[in-house]
Amino acid sequence: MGDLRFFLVLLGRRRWWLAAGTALMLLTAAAGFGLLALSGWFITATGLMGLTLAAGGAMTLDIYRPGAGIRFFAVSRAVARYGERLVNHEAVFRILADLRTWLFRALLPQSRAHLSRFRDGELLNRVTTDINTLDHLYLRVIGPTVTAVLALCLGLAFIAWLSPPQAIAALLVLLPAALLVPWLTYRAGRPLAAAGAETASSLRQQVIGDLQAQAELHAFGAVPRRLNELEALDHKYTGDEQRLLQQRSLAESGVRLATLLALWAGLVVGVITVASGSVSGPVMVAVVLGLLALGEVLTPLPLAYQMLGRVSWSAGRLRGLADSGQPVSAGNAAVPGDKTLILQGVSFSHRPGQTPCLHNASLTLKPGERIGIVGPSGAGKSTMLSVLMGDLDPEHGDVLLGDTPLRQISDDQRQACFALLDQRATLFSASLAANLRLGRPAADEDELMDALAAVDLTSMVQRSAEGLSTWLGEAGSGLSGGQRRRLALARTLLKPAAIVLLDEPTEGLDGTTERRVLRGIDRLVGERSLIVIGHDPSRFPRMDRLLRLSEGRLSPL
Amino acid sequence: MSAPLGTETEADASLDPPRAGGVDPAVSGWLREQLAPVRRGIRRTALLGTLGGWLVIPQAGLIAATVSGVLVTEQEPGHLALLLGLLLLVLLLRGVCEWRRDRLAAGVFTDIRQRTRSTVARHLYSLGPVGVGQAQSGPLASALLEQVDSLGDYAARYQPQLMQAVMVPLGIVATVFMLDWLAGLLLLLSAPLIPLFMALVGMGAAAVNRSQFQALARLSGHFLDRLQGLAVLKHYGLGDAATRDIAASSDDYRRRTMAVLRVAFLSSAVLEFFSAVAVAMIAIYIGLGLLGFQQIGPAGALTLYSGLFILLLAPEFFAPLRDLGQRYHDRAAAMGAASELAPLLAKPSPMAVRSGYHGSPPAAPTIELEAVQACYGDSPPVFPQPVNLSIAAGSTTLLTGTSGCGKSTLLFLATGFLKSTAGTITIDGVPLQDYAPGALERGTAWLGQTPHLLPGSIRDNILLGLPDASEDAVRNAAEAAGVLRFADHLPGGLDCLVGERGHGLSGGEAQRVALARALIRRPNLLLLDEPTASLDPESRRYLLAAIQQRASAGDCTIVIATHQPDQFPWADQRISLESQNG
Repeated sequence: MGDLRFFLVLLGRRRWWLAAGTALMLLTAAAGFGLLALSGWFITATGLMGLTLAAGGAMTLDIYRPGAGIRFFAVSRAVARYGERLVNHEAVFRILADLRTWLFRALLPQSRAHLSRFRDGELLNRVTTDINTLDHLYLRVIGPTVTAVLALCLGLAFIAWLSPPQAIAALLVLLPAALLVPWLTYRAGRPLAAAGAETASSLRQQVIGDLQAQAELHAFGAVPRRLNELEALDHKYTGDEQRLLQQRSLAESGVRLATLLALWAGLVVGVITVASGSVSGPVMVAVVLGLLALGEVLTPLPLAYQMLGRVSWSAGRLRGLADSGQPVSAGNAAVPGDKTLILQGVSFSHRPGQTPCLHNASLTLKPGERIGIVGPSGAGKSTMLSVLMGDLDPEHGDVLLGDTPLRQISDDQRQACFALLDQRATLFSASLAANLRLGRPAADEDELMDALAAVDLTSMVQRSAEGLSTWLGEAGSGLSGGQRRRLALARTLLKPAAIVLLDEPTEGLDGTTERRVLRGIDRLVGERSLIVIGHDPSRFPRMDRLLRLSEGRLSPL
Repeated sequence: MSAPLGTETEADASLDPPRAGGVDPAVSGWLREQLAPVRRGIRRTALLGTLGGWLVIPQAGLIAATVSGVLVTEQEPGHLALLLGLLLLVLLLRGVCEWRRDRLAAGVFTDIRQRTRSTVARHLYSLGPVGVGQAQSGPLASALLEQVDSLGDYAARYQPQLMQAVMVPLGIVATVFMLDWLAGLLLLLSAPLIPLFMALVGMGAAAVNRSQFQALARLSGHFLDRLQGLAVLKHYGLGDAATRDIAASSDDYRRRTMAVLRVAFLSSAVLEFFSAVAVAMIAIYIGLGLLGFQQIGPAGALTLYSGLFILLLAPEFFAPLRDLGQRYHDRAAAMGAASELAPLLAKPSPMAVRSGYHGSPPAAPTIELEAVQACYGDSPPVFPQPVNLSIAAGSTTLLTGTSGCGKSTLLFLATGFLKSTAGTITIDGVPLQDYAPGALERGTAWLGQTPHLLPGSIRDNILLGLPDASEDAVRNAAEAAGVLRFADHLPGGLDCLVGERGHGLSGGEAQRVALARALIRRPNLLLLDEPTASLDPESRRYLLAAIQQRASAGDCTIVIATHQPDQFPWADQRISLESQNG
């Protein structure tokens, strides 16, 4: 519940929108109530007067004001409903924006290395699902609950003013239903909601895993078995959903029946009170019909309280995500003028027992120096780069910039000292120029074209009709893997950082392009310090010295 | 700088204008096909719903009779008690009807999802690695999960409501006509023609949904794009700017979407308005009729009973239509799902069809290719010249050549992952297509360049090769592939969970697990596609040793596609695809 409270506070920032939306929900309910109650009163009153007149009696009835009232309620209900939908959609859009910016702010202090896990599709998918679920908190849970409570209180108070016995009868039926049904649906649905989300996640993982491993599954004849397992998991998933649905239909039937029973109880008590003469006939009918309208505010409650289980579960997961991962230990030391990068007896391994990525490694990268490190392909290299730039704290030893330990420099300033090209070339759906300007926001077109020339992409840009403003689709789609990597390289080289770190910068390029790109790197790195990692030193640009990384140790090649 | 990457406005300046209908007949045909097995359930749901809806008529009648009984005719309490008792019965019956209807609907909901998911999953899995390879597994998974899910509400809610929205109002309007034809006419006039009204509602709702879905999809796309690249944004010092960017683009989407919604909501507001005004008009008409102020048509014959009866029925006339409007997004979602799923299911499998009766070859097979050609989809043929080659039983063959020359394609052809377009492939002297389904697989193992581990433990992943293997067999395979070297240091050893939720294994470690999975089958045909291309030295050492050991046993035919033939000096033959073709 603590997690829910946290998000309630976040919702509180939009309290005026929420209040307006809820008020309009209430207004819609009130107009519906007024329309039915007044119509009932009017027809009964006119019916009774018609009888009196027909019997030769005298009686006057103002028929214009009730008539106008009925028209007023009719129109205001439609208008309130329209307004309610608009305001609530506005509110939900705003809440969604709040949730997203909250998540970004909460994640930003985490280390760059830790944030890289968001490249994983399954995690992203979970985040989206959770955020979309949380945005139901207001529209599906809080709004209907507040409306139901207020509508019941006001409606029953109004009825009590007209006909106290009928109000009591209705209250006796409605109150238990209004309290019990939401509580029961919440209690019964909560474990299923959590289990359902877990199963859905497993289902997705199995599907993705199986689709990627199709070659193995087919070659091993394992497809029928995996399909059976998939169906078993799906039966659990849809079975849980079905149980939720059945619980909800039972709860909804219960609420509907309670509404109808309240109407019936109101009618029974009404018949008795009219007979005893304490309440007039038209008022009795108004109350009965009003009860019919009042019951409608209870209808959304079962869904709301089933949703609450899922919402609070998602809230917990999102909060866990935002709190996970140690923030970078960063101090406030200024960036030293001396940009010598020094490793002093640094050790780092992902987990005990595994071959360490770095083992008592020492290295000095003087300003302007270029060091190539030949190392194992695959795992470990990106980790080493993260240690080098201070995104991961070494287990032993120190990484220094000049005389200042990296971990004492603030996160932002430390990032500004390095320009990194890692294994995955992450591009954004934005224009080509915008993607490049990440590296240097103030770069003019000449600078951008110059960087593109360095990575041998000039002709590609010139062929494209839109040139630099070509829009790169989702995560840079529309480009080949090699082009994406070269763009990322250009972006890295544009960044005016003192130390450039490149991880296999020419991987996947053919010979001619590779030679051009290596010359381009050479030119754009210029007098800055450079570390290149790869497994083939012939694919490095001009280097001052070469080292070998083996079993975590650095030795001259 | 509020938007480091610019806003999306450049890319999509306007939301698509709302348009009606526009559903591909093939798509709706497919959807109908999916509904066929649950038709009975849908009909029964609709029937119960209609029955429950019609119970509103006696409910209204009994309320009106009771009121009129107590106020007008001043009947005996006994007679009133009978009316109230009947009313209670009707109310309970209505509750039961609706509850049973919802239970039936839940059954339909589950049924169609399970059926369709099974159909789609079977088709996806039948595409094989080549067929799936062209698509990304993420979108395919969401087609199989979310898209299929969205059929549930369509079948269980929208479809029955479609029938109820016709039957219930018809029953009500017929009753009102019997009570007072003018009031009945008024109801009909306020909804000029029910289908027209529904179309109006539908169009509005569809527009709302489309624009809402679009806006949400684009907004999520933008958000996910930035979240995915958060590490990069942070590296470029743009974390805060990106946060502002998210806020700004959310704002922008909100404004543009609301502009559409303001118009789109009007159509349902019109329905609301008509129904509210119709109820008001009927109330006033009845009131004036009862007073005797007007004598048009049947108004003079109105009584408190019939007047109240009509008034109670009037809102119920519109309620099913309103529900249908609210359910319309189920239809939109299902149509969207169908338009993605139908083409997916129509995609033919590139796998070779095997329908013969041959069992698996007893020992290491020979492989012969005669004038074989292949292509991927509509692309031009892979090989410049049809391929002929022959691989001896128990030998180790290296396939070499520059990337893209068709090394992997040859392995795909030998396993049947890809149908050849010309020529014949024989395994152990028998044409590939003459083997029974599943027969060849019994003795085959496959190892690719990037190992794909399934979520689960290391042991689960090894057992995938041979589900009923003994503990000794698992440990032996794990030992031979060098898995134990690192697994013993992991929490739980071989039971350590790997994959997204478990320990991340390095590429080399994962490849060793994949090798253990292949070895535990004791295959007599081992196919390796660039098995060492991206491995650290240690893993490579293990891999090469294990493969060589398997080769030296002599009961296994091994085919290796590789860039680095020097790593396998023991190989019996080396086939360069370029010289083949040149």
